[in-house]
Amino acid sequence: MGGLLSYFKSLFGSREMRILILGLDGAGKTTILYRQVSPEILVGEVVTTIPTIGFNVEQVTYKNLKFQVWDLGGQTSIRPYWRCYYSNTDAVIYVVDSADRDRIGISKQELVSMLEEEELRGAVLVVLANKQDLSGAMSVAEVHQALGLDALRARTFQIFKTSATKGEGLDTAMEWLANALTNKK
Amino acid sequence: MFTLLYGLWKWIFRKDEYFILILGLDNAGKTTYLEQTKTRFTKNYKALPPNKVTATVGLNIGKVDTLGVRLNFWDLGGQEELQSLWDKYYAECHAIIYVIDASDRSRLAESKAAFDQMIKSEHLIGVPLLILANKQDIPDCMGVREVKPVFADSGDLIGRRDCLVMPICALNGEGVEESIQWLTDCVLRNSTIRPPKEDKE
Ligand SMILES: Nc1nc2c(ncn2[C@@H]2O[C@H](COP(=O)(O)OP(=O)(O)OP(=O)(O)O)[C@@H](O)[C@H]2O)c(=O)[nH]1
Ligand SMILES: Nc1nc2c(ncn2[C@@H]2O[C@H](COP(=O)(O)OP(=O)(O)O)[C@@H](O)[C@H]2O)c(=O)[nH]1
Ligand SMILES: [Mg+2]
Ligand SMILES: [Mg+2]
Repeated sequence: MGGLLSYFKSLFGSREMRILILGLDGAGKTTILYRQVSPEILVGEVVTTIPTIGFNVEQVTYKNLKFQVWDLGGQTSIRPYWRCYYSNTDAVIYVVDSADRDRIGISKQELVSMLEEEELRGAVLVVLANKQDLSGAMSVAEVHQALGLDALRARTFQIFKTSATKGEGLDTAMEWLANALTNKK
Repeated sequence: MFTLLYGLWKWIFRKDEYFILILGLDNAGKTTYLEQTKTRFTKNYKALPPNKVTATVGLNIGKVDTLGVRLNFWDLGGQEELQSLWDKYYAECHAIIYVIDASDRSRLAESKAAFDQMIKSEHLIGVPLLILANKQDIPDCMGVREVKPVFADSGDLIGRRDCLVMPICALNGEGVEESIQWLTDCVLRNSTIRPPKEDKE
């Protein structure tokens, strides 16, 4: 079984579960998906769809778990297409580059407007404060504040420090997510 | 016509909502307590096994309907770095549950200091306060008689409000129902001062 997917074992066999991995470009999403979540999944199972110019969704399906990844920010004209992917989402893994203090404000705006989507109301939120290996990386409390997470009053969320390239912190994060999803099975 | 019926339907099924903030040092047992509360008050709730509860860095929410009201819980992380985030929730909460690990005498002073820092907030004046001396299953833990004087020492910060120290065991659920009962009575009593939020559903 592929890497971190072993944590999701208890969920296999239940209904299809959709997990979105989102964040600004360069945050580390692709690294997390390929290197950490599914290193042993056959290449053939990794599908990249481009339903329209400029919109690129990376997708990994393993048993009944579906992971979908795309970059937030940038062109506003493609945003309506995001909606197609929001329905029946069980969890959002939101990845931020903790060392990029310049763009954390944009990342916050993207997160806030995404969470306003009705379709995502019931989704569990995991925030990965990624690139903790870089000097000057923001602490958990700093990320919490910069993303304005204290405004979330009706959603369970949890922040984890990670380094996708070193593979650190992802175990704990995925284990927590799998447990949180077990409640929703 | 539809709006009229909908309005009527909403009025009949409306529930007053109260928000309960669960605070305390890391490892006190806050999340375990919330899971236990959900289990006892929610039919068919699939509880997280206690050994799968991990340190909170974020927010766990819970909803419980009891005695005709809805209680919404906010369970925050207790680690030192995260205590700076507690006050964001003060203005909107209707009660505080402060959990202490009664088996850990070495951290009682630290817990008391975090408590003082919290309770002196002007946003919490008059808000009912429940102090839970958790982990009563552990031999030789501190009982209410030992914990109470320590917190009573902050009497002037606590001021006039409903306040109680209760022994509980979040792990096996002993005392959990009583604690919720007491708290519900308190938020109802205090509702003229902190009115509930009306359910939007
Ligand atoms: N023996 C015993 N252990 C308990 C009890 N309540 C909680 N624990 C244990 O204490 C540890 C910490 O519990 P948590 O619920 O994660 O504590 P917390 O207060 O939420 O901690 P943070 O999220 O870090 O703030 C876990 O290992 C629990 O199993 C209890 O009543 N008795
Ligand atoms: N130092 C460091 N670099 C990282 C980390 N995660 C990703 N990167 C690098 O950041 C760049 C962008 O990563 P990528 O996964 O493509 O980001 P995406 O745009 O969100 O998919 C790549 O050069 C990665 O090697 C990390 O934890 N630490
Ligand atoms: Mg990418
Ligand atoms: Mg906790």
